[in-house]
Amino acid sequence: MNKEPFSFAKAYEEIERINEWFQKADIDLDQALEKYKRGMELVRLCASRLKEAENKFEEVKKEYETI
Amino acid sequence: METMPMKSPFDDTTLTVSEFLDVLNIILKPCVCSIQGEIGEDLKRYPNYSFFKLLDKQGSVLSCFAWKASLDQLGVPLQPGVEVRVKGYPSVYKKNGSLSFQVERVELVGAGDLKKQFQELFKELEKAGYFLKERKRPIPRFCQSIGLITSKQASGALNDFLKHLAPFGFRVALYDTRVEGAFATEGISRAIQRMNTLMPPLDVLVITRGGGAWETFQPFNTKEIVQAIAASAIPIITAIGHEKDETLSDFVADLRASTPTDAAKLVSAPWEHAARALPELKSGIGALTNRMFLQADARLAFTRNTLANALKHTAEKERQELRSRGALFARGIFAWRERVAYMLKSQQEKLSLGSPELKLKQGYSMTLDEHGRVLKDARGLAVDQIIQTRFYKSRAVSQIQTIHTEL
Repeated sequence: MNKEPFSFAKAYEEIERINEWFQKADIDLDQALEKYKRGMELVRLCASRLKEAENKFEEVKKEYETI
Repeated sequence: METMPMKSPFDDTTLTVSEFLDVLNIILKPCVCSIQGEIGEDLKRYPNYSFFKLLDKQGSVLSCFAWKASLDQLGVPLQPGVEVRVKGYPSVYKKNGSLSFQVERVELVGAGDLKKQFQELFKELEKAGYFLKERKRPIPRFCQSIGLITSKQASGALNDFLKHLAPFGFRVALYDTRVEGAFATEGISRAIQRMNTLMPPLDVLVITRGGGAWETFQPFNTKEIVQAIAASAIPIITAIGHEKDETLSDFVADLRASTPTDAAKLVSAPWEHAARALPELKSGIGALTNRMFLQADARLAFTRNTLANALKHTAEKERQELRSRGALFARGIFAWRERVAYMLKSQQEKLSLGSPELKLKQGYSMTLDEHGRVLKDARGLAVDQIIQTRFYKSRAVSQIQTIHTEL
């Protein structure tokens, strides 16, 4: 995993792009294997993110307000 | 109402008029209040400020002074005879010693005026391009952090929003502010600004409040709040009142939700959809990978067959060619051999025509000396010399009697 924080939106959109690639691309088994592996990894990450259920709630402090 | 301190703040000091008024104004400034009344006929408008009188049914008159910025919040120009509520503080004008109320905020009172104000401000803001679709920011597909601007006191909207926000680990930052009354516009504008400073940046802002009388939505119909929404770097969803309650804030917002519940659903929907679609995407990628391998396999088999056929075809063609070349070659050899045989025969014939045997057979004869040398000339021979004459199948030996050097 890279150091950039996980972005669900980016990961999910990449999964969608991989899916599209498979539907459009010419046969390229090396790429297909790579995309498959990447797709499965992203699916795993997204699935675990979707399980983090509870919403966090906090109140914004106003003391830093100006004027 | 609190009374002034009993003890005079001036003691026995003698002041100039100016000093006295300065001190008086310092004492008056904290006396902020809201006053309701009707705007008098002698309304004086200047580019940067206005003077007007506030009247009531008892015939009391209050001179008011307002800077342009305070009046702009109203969205429509002040009109004589209109009922308003002004917020500000009293002050004495030193040049003429008269008391005037320093207006910081003006609100219209009465629905008819509010509608008119709404229409006029709508036209003005529309003309200025605030409501154009092109300037609306897209709401991120998957919002994770939400800045919620609403009131904790009137908690209906807050509860509705939180209740309908699907459990996908949203981070909700609440800014508690008034959502109706004279202070709401300022509070909401401030909230928008404050939310824009939070780190890490929020994905979306949701400004919401529950339903109510049309007049109570006025804070959302001010120029100030429209400008604050337009100035936000973070996209904004408004969910103000119910479906039928249209405010200027809704027009300028990047997305309008009909209710607080609807806003929560709009933010949650892409997550719910993703949660449903993810297993399908997963199996889809698996199936598509498999399909690609099968296709590759089929294509390979096809190529193999095609290649084998092509090879077979080429081999056959070459074989045929070889065969035909072999035949040609054989034919060539045969012709050559014929030619050579013919040539040989004719040479043989030529040779045999020139042979001495043939000449002898034809009746010619050949004379040789005693050493067997062929004699071609009689000169050089001597009388009595023995010579030999050869015929076809015999010979004779003779002695020379005479020699003639000429025939």
